[in-house]
Amino acid sequence: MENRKKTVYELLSYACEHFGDVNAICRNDLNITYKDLFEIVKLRAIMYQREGCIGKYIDIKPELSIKFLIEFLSLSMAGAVVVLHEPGLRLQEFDVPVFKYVDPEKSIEEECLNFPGNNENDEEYQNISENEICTLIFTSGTSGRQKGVLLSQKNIITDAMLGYKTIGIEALKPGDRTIPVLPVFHMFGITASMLSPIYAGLSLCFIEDIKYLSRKINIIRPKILFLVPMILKALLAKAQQMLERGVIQEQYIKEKVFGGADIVVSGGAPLADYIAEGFEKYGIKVLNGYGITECSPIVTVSNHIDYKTGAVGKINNLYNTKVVIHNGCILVGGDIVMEGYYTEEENPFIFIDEERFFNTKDYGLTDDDGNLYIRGRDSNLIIMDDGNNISPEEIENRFEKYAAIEGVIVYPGKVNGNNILCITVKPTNEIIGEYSLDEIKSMVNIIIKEVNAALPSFKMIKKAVIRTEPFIKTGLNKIKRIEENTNGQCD
Amino acid sequence: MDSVINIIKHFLQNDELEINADTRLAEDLGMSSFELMELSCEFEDEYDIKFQTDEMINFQSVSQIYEFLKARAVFE
Repeated sequence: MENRKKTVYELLSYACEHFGDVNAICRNDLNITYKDLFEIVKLRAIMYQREGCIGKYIDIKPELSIKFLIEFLSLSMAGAVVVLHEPGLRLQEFDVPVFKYVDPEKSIEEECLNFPGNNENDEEYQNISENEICTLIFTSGTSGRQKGVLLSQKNIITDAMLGYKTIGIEALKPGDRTIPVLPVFHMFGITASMLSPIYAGLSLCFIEDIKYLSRKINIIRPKILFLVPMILKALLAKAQQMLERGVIQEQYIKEKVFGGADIVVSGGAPLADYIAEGFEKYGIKVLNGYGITECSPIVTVSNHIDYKTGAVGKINNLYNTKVVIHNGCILVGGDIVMEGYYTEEENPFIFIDEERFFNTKDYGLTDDDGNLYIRGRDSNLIIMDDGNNISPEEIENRFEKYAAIEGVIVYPGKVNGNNILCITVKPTNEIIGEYSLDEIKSMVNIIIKEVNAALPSFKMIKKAVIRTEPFIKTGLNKIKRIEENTNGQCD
Repeated sequence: MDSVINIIKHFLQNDELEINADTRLAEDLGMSSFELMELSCEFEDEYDIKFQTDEMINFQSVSQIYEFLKARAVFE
């Protein structure tokens, strides 16, 4: 039986033992092997333990970099609670007793990365239990105010292993490369794009900024990428533009535009089928996943061989994880489920046969093969006068494929006392710059008619509003519904 | 202005493009937001300046890029 890793120390110790001479971290001018990474992190963990950081809340500057990764690992290994949040969030408002603020760019000297030295103070390291809280992360709040989620060492390390195993271990080999580009104030950016690769012995190749992705991708040549749908959509649009301009032929897209990457794991927001199909056309597998911060965050992810477009992977029971559909809602139990909320929230747990499950409040269903499909969030559910329940996401996703539209939000409204479905549409800036408002309205009407034609009458959009200002979004580019004026004032 | 136009042509890998100050980046050249973000890297290399990640997305025409660069005193 496989030896489970349940703490950051165990994860890095395992990586050092199995992939010691493989580069864990790469940058233009820097390579750090797994052996050296373990030494650097252990040394810093001891330093933080000496400073009294065990069990203390440490606010870390949330900017993706090699030094961020090292400080996140070091503080976690030291037993501190690393506080992750969007830039600008005022922690005082949540009464977090911050012990220390760490700006990784300032706290780590560059020489420390080049000359880790030998750690002679091993015996000084104080072991940290798998049940210790490792991270306090504030959720992005798409459907309400921000919540503080407490995740233990066991939660995040189990989830990192689950992600890698579910994708399929044979798909990746030690030393294969990936490029972390996701924000580090979301667990998808931490667990999926950094910790899972460490468990797999991949080389994390850092770039300074996501805008350099295209020019670096051909030099780095990643095997796998972890991206959000917004970036996937942009890369696909770029490939299509290049084809239209005649500067590239279709058979070279994978090599020239995507650096030869075989697999892209998509998470953080719903993925439209046409994006996955577009990548497939160029020979790149898009493995869709489903997650929620409270579950560290990966709940399911597609396998690289056995996957289905539209699904978010199969329900599995790896590492004590249990996913069940209960009254239409997805419930998750096991080691990936958070310890609880830091902020005061309604009890999110329900018990089935004395077993604790987290209610994701996301609607899901499975097919006969166990593939999971997401149908929307419970809290966003629209209940019409006639009793019909509608998930706005299900309708919103149908607008994803239209290049003229940047984003939409569907909500209930009233006309003459009757409940109807409304939509606010934000066209792309290109469309706003090019066409008059009347022309845009006609264009949007045509699109709505097309979408409505494929929907039952109770789900049809009856009123539309055009907006020219961008929607307010989370760090993963999801529209913050709560901040939009969707109180039914349709024009 | 010529150097700005040449950088855009080079980025789009098409020297035959007819580009002038009024050329619109999205509508006339078909550039996506992501490409605009990437285009900023070309100007960074050429003029030794730094753009914010999504700063370029707000530009709609070639002249807007030129004016922005001029304000940063990158031209000799």
